[in-house]
Amino acid sequence: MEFLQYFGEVFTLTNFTILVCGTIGGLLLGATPGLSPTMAVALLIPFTFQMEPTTSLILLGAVYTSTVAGGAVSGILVNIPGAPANIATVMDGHPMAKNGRATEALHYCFISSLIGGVVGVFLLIFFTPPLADLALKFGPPELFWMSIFGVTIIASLGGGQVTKGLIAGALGLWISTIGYNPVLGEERFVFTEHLAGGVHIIAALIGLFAIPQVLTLLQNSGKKSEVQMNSLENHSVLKSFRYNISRVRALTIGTVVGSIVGVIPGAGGQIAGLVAYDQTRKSSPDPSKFGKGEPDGVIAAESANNAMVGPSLVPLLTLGIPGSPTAAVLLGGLLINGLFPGPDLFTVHAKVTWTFIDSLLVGQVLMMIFGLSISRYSRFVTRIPNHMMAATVTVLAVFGTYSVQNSMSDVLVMLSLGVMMFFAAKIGFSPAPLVLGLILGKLTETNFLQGRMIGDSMDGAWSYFFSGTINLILITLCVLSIVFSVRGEIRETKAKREKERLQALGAQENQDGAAL
Amino acid sequence: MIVLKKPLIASLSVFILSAFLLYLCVGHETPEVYLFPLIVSIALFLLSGFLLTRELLGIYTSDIEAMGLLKLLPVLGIFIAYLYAIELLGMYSSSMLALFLIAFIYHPPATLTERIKSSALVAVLFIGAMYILFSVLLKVQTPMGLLM
Repeated sequence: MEFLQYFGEVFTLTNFTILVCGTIGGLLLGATPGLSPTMAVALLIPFTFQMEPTTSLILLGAVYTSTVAGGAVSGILVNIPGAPANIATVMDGHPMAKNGRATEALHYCFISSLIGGVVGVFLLIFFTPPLADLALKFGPPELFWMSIFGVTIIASLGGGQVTKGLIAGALGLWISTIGYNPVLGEERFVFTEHLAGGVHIIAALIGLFAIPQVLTLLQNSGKKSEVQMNSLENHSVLKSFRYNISRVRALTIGTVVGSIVGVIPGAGGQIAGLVAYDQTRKSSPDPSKFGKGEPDGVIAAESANNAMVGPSLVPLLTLGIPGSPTAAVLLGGLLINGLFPGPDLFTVHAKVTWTFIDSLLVGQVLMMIFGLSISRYSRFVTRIPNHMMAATVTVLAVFGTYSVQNSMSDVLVMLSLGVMMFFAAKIGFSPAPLVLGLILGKLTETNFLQGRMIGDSMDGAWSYFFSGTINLILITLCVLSIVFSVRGEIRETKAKREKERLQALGAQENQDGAAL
Repeated sequence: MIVLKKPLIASLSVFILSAFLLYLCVGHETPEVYLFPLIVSIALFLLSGFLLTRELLGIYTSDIEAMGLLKLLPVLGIFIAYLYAIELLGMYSSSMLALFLIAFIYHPPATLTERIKSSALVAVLFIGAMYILFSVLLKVQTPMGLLM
């Protein structure tokens, strides 16, 4: 029960103020279409430099949690999910709003988020320390394979295109080698003075997540918006609470699915929400109600995407493997604060870590309170025009990147990576595996080189890396993650071809019919 | 005959890039320094080769979205000018100018006065907030050019 020992730290004036501001800010940012949780956390990291590590992590954690729930507001009211994690919520949330039940849908969204979120954080509290102890048994080869596993799994789950995900992950690893060799200290791939210190993680994070979004917003600017804002009716919170609690099946499915998906590295809230929604629909006595404004759809999706948050930090805090793209950005936040995932977090930095975890728990309650009270007003942020959003995010990205090291080179690298990522995304590449490769690159290379030296002095590097139970399990997991993803991709391709064939067949029949 | 369709061009570009990265890792005096990037480059080369082969054989075709480059040319130009202007004019004035230009150019159809007014208002207010946050609160030293 170590987490209770540091509970009071959350309520110090600074920490609690930051937690409240982060929660309100996160709810508003989440409700803003085009501003994803990952991008919000990435843009926020430079602002946390001046803060104490505990305060900085509390802010990042609060924004991470509340943007996921806040994203449902724009989804329910205007049919535009604020974040990918809210796609499933929209399926029934928006029809509810169209049926004059918008407030009710928002109530279910925040109450379910609280329930799912609290369960998720408790899983984080009870599962993280034993897993961190297991990490004590990890030497250089195990840590090397763990990093490779992280890259392969996030690559496989990134965008549905496994080969491209793996290429992006490998490219991230390659970019991380620019600068100095971490063991031998010799310079490499420094083609210009701007790359002298390598690619800074924060510059890369902001560039890869914010700039493509800016360019997409500008590409879509000027188009006539057909968005219709649904009005909010008066509905008792207590009544919603009672109804929400009574939907045991939807809540259970959402919370269980969210927790499981959260622990799987790389999966994220979108998968959690969609799987939970699908399972709830399938197990419903009347599945035909779904998609037409069924509250169970909102309850399952929202409890799942918030239940995912806590468990997604379990592999992050213990092994350095993020459970979602936003958690990958959070890893960057940990590293710049000098905190390295593993058992040290729970021994040397116990105060920082437990206060952060406790703040996530308190943050869930605050998120529901503020969510219920400000969701009425957060609909205004959904009206911010694309061009204004893009212009301000550009300036924020430049200021944020510059402030990290007072370096114009970082700004140049950030903008260049961002523009390249925008075009890469157009041909099917996702930023998440690239970022993870970049973050894990130094760790992977250091463990590889150290392991090689140790291995050479023993039975040889080959047997050092390819023997031992943990190594073999990790190698098997790497292979399995790729095999399963390739199988999924083959199935998807087959289904796509079949659809195209049927469409062609239909068109041919129509033509024949017209000719007759 | 091989027809160079968009997905094939994309896969070919990735293959050429990975071949270039592999080339950068070989032929050095101290190969130890380049060992890890060399292994990563080989993996990258094999993966991109696999992607290209699948495209060539027609086993798999990537979904390619339209680039819409023409509409983005002004903002890409602003990005380049912004980078130069920061050291010439100063961080705040160049940011205000960049913000104004992006908001003005990509403003939905409206009268000229309306576009100028709304873009200028947002630029002044936002840069004012940035000044308070970065210079006053966070004490970040920003590049000072001819202006600020």
